[in-house]
Amino acid sequence: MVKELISSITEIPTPDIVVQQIISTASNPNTSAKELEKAISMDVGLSTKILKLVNSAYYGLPRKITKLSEAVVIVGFKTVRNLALSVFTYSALHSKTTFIDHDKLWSHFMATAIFSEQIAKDIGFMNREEVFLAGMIHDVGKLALDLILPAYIFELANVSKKLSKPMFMIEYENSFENHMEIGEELLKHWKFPEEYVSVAGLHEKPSLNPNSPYVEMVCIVHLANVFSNILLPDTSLSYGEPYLDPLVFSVLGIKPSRLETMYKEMKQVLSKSKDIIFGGVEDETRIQT
Amino acid sequence: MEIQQLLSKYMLEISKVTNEETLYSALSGILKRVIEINALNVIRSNEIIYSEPSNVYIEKETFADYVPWVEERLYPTFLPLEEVYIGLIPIFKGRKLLATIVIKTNNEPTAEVMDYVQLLAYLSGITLENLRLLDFVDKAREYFESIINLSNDGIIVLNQNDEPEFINSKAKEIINIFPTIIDTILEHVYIQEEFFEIEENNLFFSISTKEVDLLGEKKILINVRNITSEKEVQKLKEVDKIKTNFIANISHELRTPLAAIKAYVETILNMPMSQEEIQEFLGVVYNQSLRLEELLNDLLDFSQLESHTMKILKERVNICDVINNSVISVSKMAEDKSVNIIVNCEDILINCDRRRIEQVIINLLTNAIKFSDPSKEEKYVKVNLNDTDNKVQIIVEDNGIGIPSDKLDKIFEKFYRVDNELTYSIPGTGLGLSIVKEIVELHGGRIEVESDVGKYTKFVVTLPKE
Repeated sequence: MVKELISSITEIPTPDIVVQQIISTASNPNTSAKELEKAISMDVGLSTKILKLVNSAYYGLPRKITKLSEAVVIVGFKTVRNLALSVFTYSALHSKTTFIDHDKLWSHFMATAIFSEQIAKDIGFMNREEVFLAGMIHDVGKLALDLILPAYIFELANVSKKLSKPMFMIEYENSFENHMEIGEELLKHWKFPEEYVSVAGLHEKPSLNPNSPYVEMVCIVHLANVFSNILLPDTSLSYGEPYLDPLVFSVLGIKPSRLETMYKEMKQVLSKSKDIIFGGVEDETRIQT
Repeated sequence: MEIQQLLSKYMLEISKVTNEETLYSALSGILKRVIEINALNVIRSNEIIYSEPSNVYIEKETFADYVPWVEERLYPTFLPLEEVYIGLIPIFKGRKLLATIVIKTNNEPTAEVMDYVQLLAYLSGITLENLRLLDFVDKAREYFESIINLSNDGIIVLNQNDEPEFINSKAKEIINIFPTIIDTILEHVYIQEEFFEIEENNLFFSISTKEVDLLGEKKILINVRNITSEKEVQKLKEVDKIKTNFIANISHELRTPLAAIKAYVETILNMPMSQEEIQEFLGVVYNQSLRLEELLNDLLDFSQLESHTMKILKERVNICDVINNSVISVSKMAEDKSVNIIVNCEDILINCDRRRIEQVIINLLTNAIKFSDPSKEEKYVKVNLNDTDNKVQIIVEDNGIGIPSDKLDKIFEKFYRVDNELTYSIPGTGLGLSIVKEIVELHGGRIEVESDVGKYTKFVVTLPKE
């Protein structure tokens, strides 16, 4: 029902031509830094925003980067692509004023992205940039619901808070389409590769499809989502004790005892990435460089 | 270059790698396939451990501040300089940094190059970690070997074919002095013994063995401990215990005649007695004095024996005379015990200490009579003399109670009595046979014994004629 609306309703922003250009340029293996720089500079404000992010405390660069082409070879094509997409996600999230706090939801997106990358680093998973992006857009279903049915998701969040029960569990009890399915649909609509669609669909409960070819990525984002809900409560519209799928342990090859160490690490990462989690990208003055 | 081609080439190169240097050389070869390289350095803990071309070092100041950043972030990076790019590629496994590769290139890296470089860094990390683990295993083995070599116990590991595959330093020493020890141990192992002691040339070893299974191969672990000195200490402790027994024993032995003498003399002093009675009493006193003297002589001999000061005065003696005299000395005792002494000897002149040899024969006869078997009707002691070239053999054989075979080698030990417990059923100091042995050996002869419990005991004293 909502799924059908996604491709037709005008409330849903689509990545504009610039963002699409950036994605395709960054994923073309023969792209040079100059070409990516050119694609990004088509949007006047975008390069400045990306440079601000690259120079943020989270990346902790020893020297300040002033040119986008430099940023591309130093932090990597995919990281620059991720930052461009985060700028887009941020503006999509803030495109309309509704009943929910978009800054908070944004911090949930970003924290989950950062935690996902950190977990990938911890367990030695190679495609860390992809994991970052998957973490950032895992909850776009909530974004879509907020744009299409703002009162519904606001009420859903209220019920979740009142019952102290994760939002997705309440969604399962309703016959209504849940934010995972809607997220899947939105990412398909945005022509994102399959792995991101899978993460959006399975991130609340990876064991729904343990045979997914992207189960590692799904589990990483699931775990990052749990950490994010614990460390940044009251940001994801979901309340209560977060659900941790036991599939995580076998897929990621970690023991439950390791969660405590990981938790401490996430806390540390969080403290040094406050600027990009809470700073947002719209209001440039809030980014500490 | 296609990723598959690149990977298969990399895998082939990696399979030939035997040490870090060849790994870096292989990695450099592969990197050159994806990007032109002017120079390549490998850094580990801030030191350059490999360079290509050799001795070409990339200016550190151009990238040094980025090294900690790259090593923390664990992503490859390329720093754009005026004309060139400096690539920093961390090689890591999990979160553990193993090395950082620095390359200098004129080419601007494309997205594909950066992807390849990252992939190679991952794969090399696994190989490098394995190389270091192998090295670690090697060093760990040396380390444990040095620990095992420090052990004061010999440690041997036998393989499936019972051949030694590991021998520690101590075990090597033991094998040097006891080359057949492994075979001896195996004899015990074959009959399922795990803990046992073996003896060789007066050396004692305590052995424990254990069968273990290493990756499906059966091995035998052997621990060999030289316990010779422990055994000696044990022996000394036994001697000490025997000495204690001896003191108790000798006190009793001295007290018995003394008590008799005292009692008889008291009676004589305090009671009106006839001359006959006094004569009889004094006879007893005299006999008990003789017994006391005998005991004191034994003690005197023993002290000489202990201090090795016993002297032999040789003279020309007819050994048959000595035997006959000895028999006369014990005839009273033999009569009392109804033991028949049968002497069979011929006149042979030998050089010996008459008094001492007489003491030997008397001692053997006394023992034979003392330990006669009361249950036998005809009790006898036979004394025979054998003449063989330059030696004589004095054989004293009885049909007494005999000596258990496990005690036979102990009867010549000082203080030893077969009935070692303080039963005193038969009087004696337990010194006799050790004195006998000392005397015979001082003559350059030897004494042997054979016996069968309940049947007979036979002592053979062999003395040189000169």
